[in-house]
Amino acid sequence: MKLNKLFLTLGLAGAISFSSCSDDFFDTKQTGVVTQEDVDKVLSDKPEQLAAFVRGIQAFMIKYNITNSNAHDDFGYLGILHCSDMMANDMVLVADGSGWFMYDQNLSNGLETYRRTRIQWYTLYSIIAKANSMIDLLDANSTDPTHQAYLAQAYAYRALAYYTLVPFYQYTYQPLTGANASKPAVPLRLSTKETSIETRATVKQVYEQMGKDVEAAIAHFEAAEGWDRDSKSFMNKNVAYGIAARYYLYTEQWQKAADAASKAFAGQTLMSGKEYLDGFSDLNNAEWMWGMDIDAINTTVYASFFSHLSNVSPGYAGIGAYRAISKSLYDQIDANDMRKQAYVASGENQYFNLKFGYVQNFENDLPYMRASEMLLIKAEAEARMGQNTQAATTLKPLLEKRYTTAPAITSMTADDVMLQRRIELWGEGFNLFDMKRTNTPMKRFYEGTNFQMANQFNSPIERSAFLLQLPLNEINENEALTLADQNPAPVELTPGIENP
Amino acid sequence: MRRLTFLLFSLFLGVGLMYAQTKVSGTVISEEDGQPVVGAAVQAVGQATVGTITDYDGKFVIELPVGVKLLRFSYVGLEPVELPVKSVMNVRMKSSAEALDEVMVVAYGTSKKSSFTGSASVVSGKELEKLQTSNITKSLEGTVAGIQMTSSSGQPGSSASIYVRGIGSISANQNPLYVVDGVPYEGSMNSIAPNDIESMTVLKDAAANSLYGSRGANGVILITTKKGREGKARVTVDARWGGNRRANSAYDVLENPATYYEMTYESLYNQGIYQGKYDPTKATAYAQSNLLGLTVYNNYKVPEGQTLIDPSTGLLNPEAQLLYHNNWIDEAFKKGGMRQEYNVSLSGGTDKSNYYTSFGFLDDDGYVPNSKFKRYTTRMKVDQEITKWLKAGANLSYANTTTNSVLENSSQFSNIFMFAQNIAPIYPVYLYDQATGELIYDAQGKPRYDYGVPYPEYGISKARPYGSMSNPLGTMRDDTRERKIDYVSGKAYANINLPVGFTFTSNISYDLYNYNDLQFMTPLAGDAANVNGRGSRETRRFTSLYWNQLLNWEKTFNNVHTLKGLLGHETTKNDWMYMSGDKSNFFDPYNPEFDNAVSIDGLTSSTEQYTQEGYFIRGEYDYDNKYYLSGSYRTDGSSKFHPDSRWGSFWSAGASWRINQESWMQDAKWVDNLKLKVSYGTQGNDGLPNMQPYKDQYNVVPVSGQPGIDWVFRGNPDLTWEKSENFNAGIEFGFFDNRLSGNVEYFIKNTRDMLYSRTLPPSDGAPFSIWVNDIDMRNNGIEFDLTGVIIKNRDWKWSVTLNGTAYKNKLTKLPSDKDPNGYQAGSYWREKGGSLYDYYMVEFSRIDPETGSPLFWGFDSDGNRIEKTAPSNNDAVKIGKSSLPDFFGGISTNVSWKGFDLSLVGAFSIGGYTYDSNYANLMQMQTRGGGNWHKDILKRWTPDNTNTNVPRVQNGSQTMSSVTNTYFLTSSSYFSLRNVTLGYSLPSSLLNKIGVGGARFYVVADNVFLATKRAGMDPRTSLSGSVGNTYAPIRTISGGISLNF
Repeated sequence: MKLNKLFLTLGLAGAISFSSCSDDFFDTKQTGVVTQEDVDKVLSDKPEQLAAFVRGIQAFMIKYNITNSNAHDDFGYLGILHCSDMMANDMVLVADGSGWFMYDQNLSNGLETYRRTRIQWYTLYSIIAKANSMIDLLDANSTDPTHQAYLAQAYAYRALAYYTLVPFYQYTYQPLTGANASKPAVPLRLSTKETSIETRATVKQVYEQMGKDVEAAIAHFEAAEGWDRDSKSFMNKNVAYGIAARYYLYTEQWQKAADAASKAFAGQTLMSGKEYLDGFSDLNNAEWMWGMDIDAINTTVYASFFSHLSNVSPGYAGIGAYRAISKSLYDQIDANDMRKQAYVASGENQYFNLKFGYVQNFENDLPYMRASEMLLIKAEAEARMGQNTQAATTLKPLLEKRYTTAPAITSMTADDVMLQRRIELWGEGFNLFDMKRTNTPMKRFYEGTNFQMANQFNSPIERSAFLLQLPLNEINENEALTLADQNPAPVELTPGIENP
Repeated sequence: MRRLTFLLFSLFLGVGLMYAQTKVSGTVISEEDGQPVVGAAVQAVGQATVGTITDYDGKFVIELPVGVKLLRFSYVGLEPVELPVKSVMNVRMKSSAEALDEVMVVAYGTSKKSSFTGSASVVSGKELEKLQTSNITKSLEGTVAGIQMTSSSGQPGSSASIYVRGIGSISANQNPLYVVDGVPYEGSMNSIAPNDIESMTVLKDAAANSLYGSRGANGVILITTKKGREGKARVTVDARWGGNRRANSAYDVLENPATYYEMTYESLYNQGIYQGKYDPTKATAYAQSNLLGLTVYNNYKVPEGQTLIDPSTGLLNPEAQLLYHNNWIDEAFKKGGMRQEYNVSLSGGTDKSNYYTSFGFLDDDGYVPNSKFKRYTTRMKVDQEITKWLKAGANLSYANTTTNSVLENSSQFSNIFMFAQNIAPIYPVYLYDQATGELIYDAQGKPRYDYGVPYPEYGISKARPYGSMSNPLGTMRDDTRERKIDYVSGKAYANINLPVGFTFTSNISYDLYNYNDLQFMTPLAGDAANVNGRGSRETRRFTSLYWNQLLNWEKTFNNVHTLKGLLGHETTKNDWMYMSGDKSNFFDPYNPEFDNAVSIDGLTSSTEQYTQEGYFIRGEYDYDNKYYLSGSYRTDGSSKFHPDSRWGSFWSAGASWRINQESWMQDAKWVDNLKLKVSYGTQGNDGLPNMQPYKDQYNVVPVSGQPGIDWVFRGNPDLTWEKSENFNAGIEFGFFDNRLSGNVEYFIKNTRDMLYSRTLPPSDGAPFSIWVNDIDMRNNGIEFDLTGVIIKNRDWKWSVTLNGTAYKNKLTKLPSDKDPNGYQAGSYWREKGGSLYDYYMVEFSRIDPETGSPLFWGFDSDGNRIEKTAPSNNDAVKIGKSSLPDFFGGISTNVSWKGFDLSLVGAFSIGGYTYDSNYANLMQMQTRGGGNWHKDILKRWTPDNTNTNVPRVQNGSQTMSSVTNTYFLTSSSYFSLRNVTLGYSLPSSLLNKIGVGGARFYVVADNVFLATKRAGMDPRTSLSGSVGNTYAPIRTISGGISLNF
């Protein structure tokens, strides 16, 4: 029996010793992720890793599948811009193919339960949230140029995200007439240092915030003297001015737009007409001011911008859902204009675009901002201020690059500049925003149109078909919103007639 | 059969004769079937040398010395009995399978069934062996009251999800805890060979499983493996061979290319009329000019200058000549596969030790090419009494499984289960020349697959509209999706008897799983062709170390008061290690190894850990085998929670009363068992899919070769245990010599502070949700088991078992961030008093007889109900239907006659609705994307057929499916004939001559029959009423033989 007692003692001792280290026992590892504690430690031990926050936003700009539906039209910022092109005048979805973006081309993708509205909202608000957390994290008065440069990017990203977001959810702000200024736009979510508006802020409120943000971005870049980006995937001061120029143009602040565009263009070069036809795939292109480097690891393959846009790729466009330029725009391109060669001239595949090329495995880099856009902004702003001669002078270097024989133009109207803008920037996500800000109607139903029958709409632009409803989740989960805050369900357009 | 064996045994057994004073004779028969037991040992109690065995007819004669008062009868597989000596004795022996019910496996030990205060159901290994499931979780359908099973995959080896007494949780783990031989089991359930299982016990209420407090909230399933029995070595061999077929048919879709072209033509014509507002002439021209542009392929050859569709009739041109046609469903699912399974075991023992060892092999080919499951298992179990006070044992097992799977339950085009059913019948599996209809062969002389890309050389200028770049049959042949698992499990225990009724037991167990995944997408064609093939390898190492220490005490006072106590402690530590890589650009298209590829696309590794610790105590008391009380308390810590909210406490109390033990019941001879029981208790759940959900977590993402960080998980330090409270009251009975027995129970299960992934306003940015403790829910209902032995005589036995469950699921507290009057969650409405799955959607009204447009009920701006053609989500209403069934259960029957036995097992469910989204896909008005239609489309509205409930077809119109609507809600009621087994046992007279103990031949069929509202729809896929494009269940028909020596 003594032995029994010994065993009992040993057993119980074992039991106790096994559990006596309880605190350590629950100290488990999870190394597949980095926890907040880890992040804090890294930032104190290796401050240069702060760049990872900025790169986190860059990565988010190309994030696939944010709606968690494995949809191949859900691939970040350029997916959103591509959607906007599909909802506009100049891009034709020749055949539906696998169906991606077909309902955008059909202007029937706006209901609150649809994936489309979630993609725009989730992606852009996540970029806003990331920008906000950087604004929270960094000291605005820091003397560290890196901190200033990162803070500048945070404000610029936030401005860009709101700039891209609002036109999908409300009619266009027209400060000169005051139209739509007090209509509900989107919630204005800011950093905890600022005051957010949880309900739908007015259009005017959101645009005013964008104005402050572009100014802040520029100011912080000014304070970041000595900092230089190590790749065009980062923004720099020129890019911040470029975003400011876009913003001023959209809000009809012509002089500011011209000035900002001018500063953005400073130091930039233009590519040749031949380079224009090279496929739009390389971040090293001299004219690209800002973009994203795509490699074997971050390519999203079929769910990518070039898969949908490049007819020469083995992606969706290349195997059936071809993207073409609208006949009406094509016909307006001068025969002397080398950009006309970016489209198939004749035959069964006439108008198919060749502008966007293909790099194996869809490792094409992504264009976010090009220098020629800055000249177009400046020229348009000048023309709108009545400085038509100045506009022609501004645009001359661009036209010289694009035309085999540059036309001797001494004066350009805003319409002239707009045509150049549509030609130059086709497929890069400007058309719908331009139509909205200039109140240009949709015109796809005309003699010889190359749009599919179901998509041959003619309609004023200020119609619900060109808006999305807010995602239902936002209405449900945001306590500041009720069903009454929702956009009305879009009224679908009828093809083949003039919609009132 | 067992009565037929062990004849030779008698030749070696010495028959002791000491003082031949009393001569006793008699017969031993088996109670189960009334057959004589041959070779049963008959032994004088207290006189080890005095004994004999029964002869062919079960008869025995024995001379007993003076003083022998008791005779002991024993036989392997039967429960030993001791009876007072009489001159003529007729002995009935019960099978130990029945006896097994008497001692049942419970939490941390065993219990006499009669003294058990909780609610539990036992499924014997014998029942499990019959079923040909390659994963034991699939064996429970319809067999146990209170259990629902859903199976989202029929892939060989795949697991089913088990729900005990309703849905226990909203977003945390809903599945029960599996405990194998006393140790929580965390691996893949397909690593356990069903033939090694002695019994499965499902613990359902708090009294039964509260002691598994931390993880018992969703019920506990205890699996006990076989062990050796006292007696001579026994060898069993079981072998079966069979064939697999798809059990349930696919949806009934259009198969004839002509019908498809006609329908597409009509949809284009209607598009011209209704959308383009064309006149009929222009609409006809529009349809004619767009038909082949839309379909791309033309299966017919039409005479020069004629059109495929005759514009005057809208039907196929009678001159058209079919060039080629393949049926995807036949090509994919009609070939079938083989299944073979072999199990050998050797067992035996003495009064001090026993052993069981087994080997099993299973090879299950499913019915789809390249979906295979192969398993090797071995097990060795030994128990040894070392000294009077020390007993120890070990249980070692090894399993090796290889699963080759095909993609399923996904909307990707590589999912053959979606693809074959949804692709229009005009697109061929193989490549054909469009002009001649000639089949194209590859260099090896095999037919080429058509991957839906342009093949201009064969007249296909554009990609196939449906699933371009895909051909799942082709990729299934050339792709690899393989998972190999090595599972090693070692368990050991020691049991020490201590003074004054104490026993100390300690169990230690170490499980190791090594997963090796290989995926390879062929460079020959398909998705990965443009990168010259894509391959990935993942290895995962999972270990689980478990140790418990149990101190038991038991004492009986005055022969009537029995007290039992248990004090215990346990710890679990789980470790995961992952490593995976991706490469592309392969040189040799048939070699999936990384050494054959040059581009690295990804490389990751990580580790994770989980620990859990619990302290517990249990006390039981019974008075004179009549009144029982039990109580337990447990406290648990989990590494998933913040140190401040880590520990949770759980407890239970139970009581039962065996009425038939009362003296005043002694006259009611027909009552064999009558027991009332009641229990209440609490349990916990920490089953959320993140190991440290209390911390904010970031992913490191690559950006141009530099690290970026992306916030992926919102931590919540306040997160703690989800708790459930269980009440159970029941009555158990056995009447008329147990010819009618059963169990009826009422239960309430309240789940509180559920682990719930709360959706945040998306304007917060990603991550879009956070885990919180919120929402309360109740499941309450009634369940019963009933077994009746209808015929029981020497030759015949017929019994029927029925079980059923009816329960209501009810939300008792809504999330605190939601409207207290209820809210919409997808296509469900959540409100207090409602269930988790009450449908909320737009109500379909009718087809407009004028135009064939679908009409839905909606609201006008004043809130009046009106019919609409284009409803929105705002028109959704409460439908008054739920996905949950009103009543479900199982019915089975066993018939035996002489050597023949037949059994049938069925499962059923009544009530509840499924949202048949697969049907919705097949009933769109439009033709977009080259998708197929269900044959119901033949009843569509046309100007000549206006009285119908199927809308007109119209290209470009998505009205039918633009919102979730009641048109596609379909009754979920079903009946499934799960298993039919017919066996024949050879008579012993024949076997004895060849030295075989028993031999049985049998034919067994699984998934024989499924009756549902719509062919193709399987309502058993989920509890939420959704369906996917899943691997439909396998029907296996096998023939087998089992032998024992």
